[in-house]
Amino acid sequence: MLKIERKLIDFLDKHICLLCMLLVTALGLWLRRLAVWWSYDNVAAYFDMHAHSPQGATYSLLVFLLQYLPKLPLHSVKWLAGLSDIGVAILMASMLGKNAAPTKKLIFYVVSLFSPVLFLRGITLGQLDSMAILFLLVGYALYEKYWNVCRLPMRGIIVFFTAFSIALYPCLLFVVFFFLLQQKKSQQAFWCELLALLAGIGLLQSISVLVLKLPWTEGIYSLFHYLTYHPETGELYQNAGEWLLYMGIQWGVAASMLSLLAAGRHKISYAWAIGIQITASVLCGEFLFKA
Amino acid sequence: MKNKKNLAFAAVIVTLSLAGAIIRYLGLPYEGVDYRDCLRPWFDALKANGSLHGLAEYKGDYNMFYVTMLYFLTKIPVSSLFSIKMLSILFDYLIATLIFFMIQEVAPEGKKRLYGCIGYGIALVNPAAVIDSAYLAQCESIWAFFSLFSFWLFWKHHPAWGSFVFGLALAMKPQGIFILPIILIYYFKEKSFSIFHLLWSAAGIQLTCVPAILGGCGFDIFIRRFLYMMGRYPHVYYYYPNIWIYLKNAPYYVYGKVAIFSTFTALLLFMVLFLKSKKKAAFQEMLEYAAWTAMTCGMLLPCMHERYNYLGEVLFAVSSIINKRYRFPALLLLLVSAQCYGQSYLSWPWISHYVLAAINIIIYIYLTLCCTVRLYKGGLSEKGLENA
Repeated sequence: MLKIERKLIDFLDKHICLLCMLLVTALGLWLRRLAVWWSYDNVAAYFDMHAHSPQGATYSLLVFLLQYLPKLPLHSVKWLAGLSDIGVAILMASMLGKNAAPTKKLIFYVVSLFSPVLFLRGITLGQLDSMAILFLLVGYALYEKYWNVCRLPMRGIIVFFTAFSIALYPCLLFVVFFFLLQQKKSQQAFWCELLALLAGIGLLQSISVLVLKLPWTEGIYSLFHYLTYHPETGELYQNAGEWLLYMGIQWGVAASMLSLLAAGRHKISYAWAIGIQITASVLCGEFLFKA
Repeated sequence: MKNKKNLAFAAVIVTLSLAGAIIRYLGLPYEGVDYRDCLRPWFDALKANGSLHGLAEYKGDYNMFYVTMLYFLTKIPVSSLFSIKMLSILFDYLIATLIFFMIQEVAPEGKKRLYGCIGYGIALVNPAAVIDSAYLAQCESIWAFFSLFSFWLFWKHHPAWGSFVFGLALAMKPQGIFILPIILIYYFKEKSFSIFHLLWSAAGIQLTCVPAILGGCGFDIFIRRFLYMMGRYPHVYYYYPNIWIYLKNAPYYVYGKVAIFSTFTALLLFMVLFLKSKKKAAFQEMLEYAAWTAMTCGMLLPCMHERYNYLGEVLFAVSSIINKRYRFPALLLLLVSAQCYGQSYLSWPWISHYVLAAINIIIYIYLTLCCTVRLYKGGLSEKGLENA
């Protein structure tokens, strides 16, 4: 082995985690750049605001505003999702706890960035689930650190992040509700936190329906459309199988990313996290690439 | 006493060899679809031409090394069906012999010959190998042999020869590259040879192209054929029940690259984990990691035929001889592979590829967890790293 080669290898060996992270980030971005040009046949149905559309009013407002960027509107949405994927991956790696080794952080970063569900729902279908997860994780990180020690302004910021994530991705409402429920706090604290959150969501949705000139009831109903209406046709689901498929697709990102984090924190087993990730990926793949 | 032992050993080897030969003999008259539609027409065209110029006029999609082998087979006064199959069968025996020596390296003292014979026997009666060579006249045993031999030579501290033989594997079929990840991991871990040794693989590749170049092909014939074979497929799934069956209609022009670079990332991540573990790997462990890297290629790369995980299957079977916990998964993997061959070429009853893929994925996840958990026995915490 040449002297310079040995020095180079020693350098690589020393900084391999960082170099791997940079390389993987570059690859993740490049692959997203490729995928941004492929679109699902009926992708327009997710943005045309038809009756009983699966998107919440805040989501529609955000998409509406993205039209003013100097890019194809669909690409702007997709890139917002793609860049959020990186944010999610960084947060997943940094929220594993103080004792986590750099290699563990690297694994979680890579697995999150290359998560098939995140890739398929975000850059392929143009859904902002990962952006919502990003806001939820920021809110959660701040909640863990500051909620019990800080005053109103910081609590307001935490409520905003969480409410915004729910307004973008309504599935998270149930996640946050159960999270608050299982916190060992007084009933008064639970109701205060829940009401603050609902007020935050209500405020965001109200501003959105006002700007978009939608009926005010849409602010509430649009958060629950996905539960009963087919996202593309806007009609009621025809059968239980169809409902299960679309619920799996809608919940895919939330279930897979949050279960991954829970496994990383030893709250659930890795087998569950892998199983959920694979199931959600299969459902998304079957849906997007049906013959 | 020693003579008796030697005699018994020779008897076992002869019996196993004969058993392997008999199983293969039963399949010799069978004309598979690949033979009828591809190999025979190519063979006949090369024979009709009669000179090396036939190589320049070759229109098929195999590498020149194999086509050159076919050309030389035309000079033997035996029917194409038998000569092509006998070539692959010869390499079946070479793989079995190589496995015999590999197993001896890792087997416990006093049981080396016994374990070696078991490895030899498993390699010969492996149903996927039998169907591939003796029934379908396919050539997976050839590139798999060169790949395994290359790995063995690197392990035995012959990096130049190892690299040269790796070139032969690559020249045989692009799937020969499945052994490269473990060679690179070994390189970064051991730091015992120079990366420039890998240049010998170019010599190996180019040497195999000499007859084709003499026959009128360009000097870049290998690269041109390699590029020709890339990107020929419309979709990422191609008959091997791997992860891509669940996204089987994903367009290749986008998701082909996603699949390739996801595979690269998985291998890179494993390399980082291996290097950071500071663990000194024995040959048995290296065999398991080689099985994992080869299987990662089979499970994550796009457009995999049912026979492209051949190397992973062989390595996993070899690892299972010493490591008991792999025995059932390795057997299952071989049976899934045999079932794929059977239902694609031999009219076996159809089992959904979704089911077969699910079994393969579970086996792959199991192997992944076993390989990574072994690296970090104390868990992925700072303390665990210290204990690893």
